[in-house]
Amino acid sequence: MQVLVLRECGLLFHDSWINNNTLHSKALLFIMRIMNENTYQKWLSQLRKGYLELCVLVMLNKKQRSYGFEMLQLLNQAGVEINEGTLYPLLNRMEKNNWLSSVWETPTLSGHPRRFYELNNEGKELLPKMQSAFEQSSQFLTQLKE
Amino acid sequence: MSNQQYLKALKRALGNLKKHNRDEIIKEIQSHIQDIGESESLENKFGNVNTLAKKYLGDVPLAHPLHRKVGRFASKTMAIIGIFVLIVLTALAALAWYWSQDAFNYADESSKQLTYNKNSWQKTSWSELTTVEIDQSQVVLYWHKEDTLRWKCAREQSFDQGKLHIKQNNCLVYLPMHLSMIRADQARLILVHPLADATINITQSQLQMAENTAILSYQINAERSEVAKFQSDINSGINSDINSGNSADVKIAITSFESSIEHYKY
Repeated sequence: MQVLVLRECGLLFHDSWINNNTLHSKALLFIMRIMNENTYQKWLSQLRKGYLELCVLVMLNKKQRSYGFEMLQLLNQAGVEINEGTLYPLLNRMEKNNWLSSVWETPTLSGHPRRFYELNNEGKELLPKMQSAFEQSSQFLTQLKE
Repeated sequence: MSNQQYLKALKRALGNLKKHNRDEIIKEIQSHIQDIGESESLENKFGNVNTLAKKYLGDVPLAHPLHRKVGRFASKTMAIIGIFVLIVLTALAALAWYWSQDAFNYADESSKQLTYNKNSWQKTSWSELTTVEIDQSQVVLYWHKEDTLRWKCAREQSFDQGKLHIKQNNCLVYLPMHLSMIRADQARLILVHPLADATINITQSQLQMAENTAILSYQINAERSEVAKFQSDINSGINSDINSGNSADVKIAITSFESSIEHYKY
């Protein structure tokens, strides 16, 4: 694994180089630990990105339309860990991808303008495909474990 | 960092986005502030400004304030340099055009520069043997009804042994209404409205004709020279013997070698 990680960075080290207790081997191990952590974070962020997008699509499909703050509350209530700094750029990107469309609305009596999002046709077509792909992946993983 | 400062910083960091998109993002965050309450810190909720901006930007590079300043400064400086260079080039072109012009329109026979003044003009009586020789000079030749040879030059010019020999000088010369013998070598020669016959021999020179209203009969013998088409010519050409019309009573005989014969233009 350690050799593999280094290989990813274009470096080739033999196991014997890091199996002794010298200063440079300690330094190499430290670098590898950081790299392992970074690659895990990267993997997690990639996994979360797709997962959160699916969550937003599912929620909007159910609720028809919603705005940022409401979506944040609904997702958090459903146990999805997401904050403002992730949700708003995510909505922005999904709109750019043409999965969502948005419209600014101000309540007639009182209140401030809010940006309401809803699924557009492309998003509606995509949702069942994404759900099925996600469920399939989950099933494969369960099968592998058994 | 206050919420206002946070929004300002975010707006700056999103500088590479289109204005409309940037404004929409800021407006949405402002709307979110109103939902959560003004007392909440945006930095706590949304995280580091640059990290948030990077999420919005995706592949678009983050607008670095310093880069933008440097970019703006560089583009302004380049624009100023460009304008300055353009002005200098225009001024140089105007100066070159101005300097390349003649001192006045030599074809204008009523020009004040031609007004006779004893102090500035020199004069001598004319004889049949009088010749004008021009070397490495610019000379404008006019004709007048006096039996004298009159000249005005940039530098002192003497008349010696029946010969006006102009060398490395700029002169205006008036010839009498007699046959004139003119020889020019590496010179610029301008003939304005000839009133009498002239025999001109030029070598490596430029001869320009300002005929004005004169109808002239040209006899041009040119070798390795460029000869323009003259209004009074019918069959102008190199080594051609041309008679432009029966009514012409002034004959200009030109022998040219490695020279150009053309119309005078101011």
